[in-house]
Amino acid sequence: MSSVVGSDWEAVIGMEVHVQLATRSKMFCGCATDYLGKPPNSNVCPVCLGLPGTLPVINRKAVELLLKSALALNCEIQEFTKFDRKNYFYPDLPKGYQISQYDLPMSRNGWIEVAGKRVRITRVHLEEDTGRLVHAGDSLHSGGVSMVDLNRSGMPLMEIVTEPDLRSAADARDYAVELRALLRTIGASEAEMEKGHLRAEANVSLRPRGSEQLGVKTELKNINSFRALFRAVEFELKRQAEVLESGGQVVQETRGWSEAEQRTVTQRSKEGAEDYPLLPRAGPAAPELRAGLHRGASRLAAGAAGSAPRAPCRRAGTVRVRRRPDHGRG
Amino acid sequence: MSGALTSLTIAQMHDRLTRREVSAVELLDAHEERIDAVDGGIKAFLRLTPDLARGQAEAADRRLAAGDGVHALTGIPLAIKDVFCTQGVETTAGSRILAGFISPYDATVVARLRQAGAVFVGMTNCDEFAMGSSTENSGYWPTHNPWDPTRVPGGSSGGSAAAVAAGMAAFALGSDTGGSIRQPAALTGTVGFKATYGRVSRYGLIAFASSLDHVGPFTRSVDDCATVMATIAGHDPLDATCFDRPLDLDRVGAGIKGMRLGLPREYFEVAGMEEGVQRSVGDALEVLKEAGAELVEVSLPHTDYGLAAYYIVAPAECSSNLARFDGVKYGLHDPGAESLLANYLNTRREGFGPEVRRRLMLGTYALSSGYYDAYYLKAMKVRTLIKRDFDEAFARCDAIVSATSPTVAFKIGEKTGDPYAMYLCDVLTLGADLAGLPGLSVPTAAAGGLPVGLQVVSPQFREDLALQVGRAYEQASGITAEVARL
Repeated sequence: MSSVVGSDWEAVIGMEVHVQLATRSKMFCGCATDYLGKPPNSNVCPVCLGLPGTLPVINRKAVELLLKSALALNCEIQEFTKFDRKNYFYPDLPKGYQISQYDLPMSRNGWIEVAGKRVRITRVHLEEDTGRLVHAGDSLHSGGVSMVDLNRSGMPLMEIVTEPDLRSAADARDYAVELRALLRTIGASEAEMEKGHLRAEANVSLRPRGSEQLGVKTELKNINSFRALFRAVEFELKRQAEVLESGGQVVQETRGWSEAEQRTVTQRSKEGAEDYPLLPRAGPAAPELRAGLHRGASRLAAGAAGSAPRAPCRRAGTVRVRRRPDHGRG
Repeated sequence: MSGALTSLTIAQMHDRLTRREVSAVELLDAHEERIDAVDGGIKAFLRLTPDLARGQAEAADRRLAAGDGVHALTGIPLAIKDVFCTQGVETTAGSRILAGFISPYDATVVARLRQAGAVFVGMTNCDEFAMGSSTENSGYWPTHNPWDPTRVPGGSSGGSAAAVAAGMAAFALGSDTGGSIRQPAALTGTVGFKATYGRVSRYGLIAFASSLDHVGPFTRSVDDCATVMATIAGHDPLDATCFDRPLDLDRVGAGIKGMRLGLPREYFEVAGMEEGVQRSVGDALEVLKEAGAELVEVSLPHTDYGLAAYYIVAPAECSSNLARFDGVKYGLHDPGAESLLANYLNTRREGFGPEVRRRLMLGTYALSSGYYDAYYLKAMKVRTLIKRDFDEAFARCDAIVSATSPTVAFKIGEKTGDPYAMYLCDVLTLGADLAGLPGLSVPTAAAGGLPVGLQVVSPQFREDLALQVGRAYEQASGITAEVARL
């Protein structure tokens, strides 16, 4: 129970966590994942630069790590999975779409126990990271120039989404701590929050105690530590309670945690909202990114006791997840 | 002398090269002379690569002299459709938006041909991003048909087709998404082929519609086509849809005695079929019958819906595939734009031609939320029905034969004002793309002095059957792809 929320309100919190998987190469190409400290745009290839004509090839190791994580989170592995394209224009997105998963994620319907309570896991899926923008000058709007660094483009991300089962800032933090421990134990990720391996976003809302309906939520971003997660949720619950108690309504929006100010602040929908006009659209599933998973997952489950996990394998009419030529590195 | 050299098939050139009757450099010289003489009127090439070609020809001669590692394509002049990324060469997909883009890598098929020792003469014109059926949608200029320069060579691979038909290259690479190899092959009297989806790697092919894009060659004989296919086909770890299954072309020359050839009723009743084409194809069927084939009528009942499904699926996929051309990383951009959004809008408005913009809008609409199920998903269901039509037809025959194009080459400008009339050019070819099946076009008797093509479609993974039928027709009819006198 959150200390800041009076007994009239119940906190309802769901989490979306992006985990950088501990693979040696990127999600769809052979570039290394240890790009930190490298000069901008030096850890790239035609595929993660999104050059004309290039095609993605699924990283087998990333799929293995996802399946391991999903099984550890008691998820159902889906028999068939595919990747989709999230289309939007932004300079850190070299293809004009992010490869992610919409309707057929690799796994669904799991749970994790946090402090004696079950938190339901909605889905766990794979996607690729974007590059980053470096803004010249002191602030975004005074600089005049933004530079694009694509070293991070195509890094493998696993997204873990929970149901709104958490009831306090402490719950949210405990969930993230528990998740980090689990991911480290199975070797899926180094899961260092400070290094951005584990990026937590909290969907936070309040409702009158006893109500079954969900209130209007805000999405909290830019959270770089467990402490920040706790404080951001705590702050936001208090803020929302004040809004509601003064007869106002919570606005559905994305809010960023400001470490300097120790408060959440309304974010422009993305840096420079005026430059981000197009809503993401679902793209066609890339034909090269369809795979049958189930047999591989069963083997992985069976092998959990002893032998090395096996990767997903072929099913009739689907595409095998293959090892790519340029990296036995996995 | 040079005229004689530029009319040869790959097999004949290879024969002369290996006997050292001609060198690869001489062969290249002959083709460059021919290009100098005729391409001013045909405009098949967007750019020539003389330095690259010379280096490759010299290397081929060293290989031939040493007699070591000589491949059937070593020293053979090749024209490459401008949609295949070629390392160190400007590759623009026929679009202004990619002007100045020099590819830092080779498409897999280009790499394989480079390795085989083929000589890259230049990059050929095409409809912008391969969207079109006449090469008039090129962002640069239209290409003219070598058989009648007032007419189109077909498209989108019109430059490649014209280069082979005019003796400016012994063979060429094309891509086929709705008929873009077979239709120009028919309109220029060349042999054009695309294999089963996934037989040839798409890595490095600038994507138009990922689930429909196929790669294949233009040649002047079916044997040459088989030679090129044997070189470019096969598993590529960089393309996850490219399957690992041997391509067995040993029986291509075995004849068609006892083979059952299906005539789809709907393909013979298609609207706009010209009498000359009908007659030429009818004669070709007689030849096939005399060569021992049994002709059976089959049905592809969903043919009518093919065009509609195609014009949902292809634009939807292209709207996503072409998103990367945003002026941020390469190609055209607007240095004066006052904002990122203005740069996007100006770059894409300036860089894309009207047909590409039309398809981007259609595709964006078809994928937008609320319409995805009604359009894209429904079109994909129709596609499944079309595949099923072919499966059922192949239960009754070994291969399907028909005209490739309902018309001969049309006049430049004749259909540019009417997109729908242009789309109808592909009505007989796009079924094989929607179903991912091998499709061949071989020249039949000319109609009114203009080339006509016979299309052969075979079951998935059975490229050999289509080529076998084409080869048998070539032999029995005595009609082979000729080089246009210009």
